[in-house]
Amino acid sequence: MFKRKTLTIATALMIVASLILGACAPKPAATEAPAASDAKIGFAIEHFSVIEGTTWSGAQDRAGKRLQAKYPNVEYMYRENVAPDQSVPFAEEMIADGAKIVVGNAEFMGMPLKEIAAKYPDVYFVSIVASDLSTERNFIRYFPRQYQALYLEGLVAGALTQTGNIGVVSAFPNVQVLRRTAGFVMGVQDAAKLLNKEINIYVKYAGDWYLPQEERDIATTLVDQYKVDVLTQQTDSGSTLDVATEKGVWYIGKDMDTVGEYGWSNTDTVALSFDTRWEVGYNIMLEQYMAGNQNPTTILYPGMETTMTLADGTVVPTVDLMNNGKTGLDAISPKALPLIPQEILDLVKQRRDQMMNGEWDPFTDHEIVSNGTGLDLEGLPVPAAGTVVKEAGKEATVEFLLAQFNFDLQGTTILK
Amino acid sequence: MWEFWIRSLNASTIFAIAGLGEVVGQRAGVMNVGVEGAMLFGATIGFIVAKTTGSYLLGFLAGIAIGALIGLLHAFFTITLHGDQVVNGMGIWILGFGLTTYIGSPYAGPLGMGRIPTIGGLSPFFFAALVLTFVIWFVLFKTHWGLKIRSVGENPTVAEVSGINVVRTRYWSVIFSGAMMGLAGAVYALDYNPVWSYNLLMGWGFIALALVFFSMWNPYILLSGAVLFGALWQVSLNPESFLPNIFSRYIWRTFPFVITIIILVIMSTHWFSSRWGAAKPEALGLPYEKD
Repeated sequence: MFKRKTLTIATALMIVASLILGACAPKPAATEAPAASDAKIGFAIEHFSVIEGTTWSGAQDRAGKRLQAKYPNVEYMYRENVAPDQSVPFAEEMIADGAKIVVGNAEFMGMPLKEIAAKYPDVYFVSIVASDLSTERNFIRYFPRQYQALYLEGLVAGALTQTGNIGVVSAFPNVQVLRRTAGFVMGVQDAAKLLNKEINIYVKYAGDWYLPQEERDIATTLVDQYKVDVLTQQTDSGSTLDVATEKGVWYIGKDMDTVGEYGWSNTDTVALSFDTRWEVGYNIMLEQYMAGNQNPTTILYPGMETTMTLADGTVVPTVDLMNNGKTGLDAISPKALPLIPQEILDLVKQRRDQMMNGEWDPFTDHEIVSNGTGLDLEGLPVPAAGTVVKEAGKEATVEFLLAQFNFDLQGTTILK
Repeated sequence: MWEFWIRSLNASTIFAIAGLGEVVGQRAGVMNVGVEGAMLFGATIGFIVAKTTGSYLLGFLAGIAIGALIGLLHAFFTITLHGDQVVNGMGIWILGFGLTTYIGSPYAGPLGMGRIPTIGGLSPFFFAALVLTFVIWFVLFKTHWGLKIRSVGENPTVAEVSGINVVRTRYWSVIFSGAMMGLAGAVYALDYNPVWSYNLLMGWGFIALALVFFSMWNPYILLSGAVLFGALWQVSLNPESFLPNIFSRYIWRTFPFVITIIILVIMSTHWFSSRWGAAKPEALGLPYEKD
């Protein structure tokens, strides 16, 4: 009898204690006040692929680490190989662990995050843009203006080709690929004009981002049959780079400095590459979150003019030429440098400086003319060949560049 | 055109080596549908060993060794534990996909070693595949070992009564089979496309598996099928260069599998078995338990 009475009293005390403690506990995340600048902030990235040895997720992972190093109160957390049906459960797991910004690093698995944006009003959700531009108050869309660096690469590629043939191993026609390729093509065409050269640009699609065998075969075909002596790619495997090494032709890299970061090749093959600093855009989001901003910028499309200062004091723009750890003109391979006429080097420097200062943009400066090839979008067919889609000097809008750029530039040869 | 055939033959080399291994296993009555998984192991371990040691020889040996180990694993589950061969093979494939992604990721990227010299553009492994085809045919059909292997694949009970150790014969056949798959994977990763990335084979193991059924378990037919499948693969990459405006590449890519299905349907007809005899090993896929 005594034992039962004691047990009842103990249980009652425990319930009361739990209620008191519960009342003292922090409120759920959904109603939490905006974070103070010194509160712990979880910065979460859901990577669609593995991280190690990849240029896309690898650069995003580096961004997370750099932000963690810069801000003592920021904790970088991540999940790898996230499929679309996993993005929401993983996001909720990381939110429970303190994530305040959750990024899906590809559109196909980032978009499901939009569905839970209202459920977690004090969390910023982010999806990388492929062609969709839909947003919510706390659902942000982000992409860096990589085409600016690709334009500079195109200038160098145009100067380097001796055969007058440049090859692009590409994934499949979509807005992101078409826009990026157009940036490169524009650079090649400017170099051709300046040097009075005739240059053919061949693009062949593998069918997806990652098809190592197809990419190898396409690269080989471009070199053997189309006499291409400069290769670049809009795909994800290392096959194109390997073919360039094997065949002794120049390779122009993309997304990340794979010579410096991964040691995949050397500057005898890689004439130039560029590096994407995803952390610059993420830093803007973090600053807005720390400031307690409930209405963050929902479309972020920063270019070379937007920079951030890393923990070690280095100032990095969103994208920049980078090869073997060197940036700007120094990124050009020492073996390639003597082959590039001075007027091209001067132009690369001038355009890079102008873009760093936000004074110039290739898509605003140039007339944009359709090749008649590309991708029909809903309600937006590919413009007929020769159509002037945008006049020279007129600003290319964010919506046009991110969601409507559905054609190849005039002068591009799309191989079937 | 010569370049087309060079690339076709180099691709067919990998199908042939893996397929020859699977033929030996299936002739002994054990099917391994996890060819892709065993090849992924061979490709990844071979690549890692070659990259870290700088030795092609060690890379190929490591590929063969890990393939043999996967074969041993398959043999243990299907012969000793009498597990379902298809289910276990699927397990090997899934294990291969997951584990090689995990262990190979730090080594992603080009191999970075000088290319293995070719002979007139052809990989030396193409000639090795020719020799292996003859050797395996000779062993299977002209030697006492081959008779043992075929016996345990046709009727293990009768083979046992005749004094053949069914379990041992099947074990060695499946281990050899795995070693060949590992070699095929290593040839892919060190010679054909020496760049490591996750799931780098993208289904080539399944083409090799289809090839075995296509071949009616005959090494010579398998070799010619490998050349055919290699050519079809190349056509699927560049259909417009060879046969423009007929099919898209995606349709061409299904051809090896479509042809295999047609062959299997023909083989299952009464007309075929009465005229040509049963090509399929009778005890294929069936676990053996000693009475």
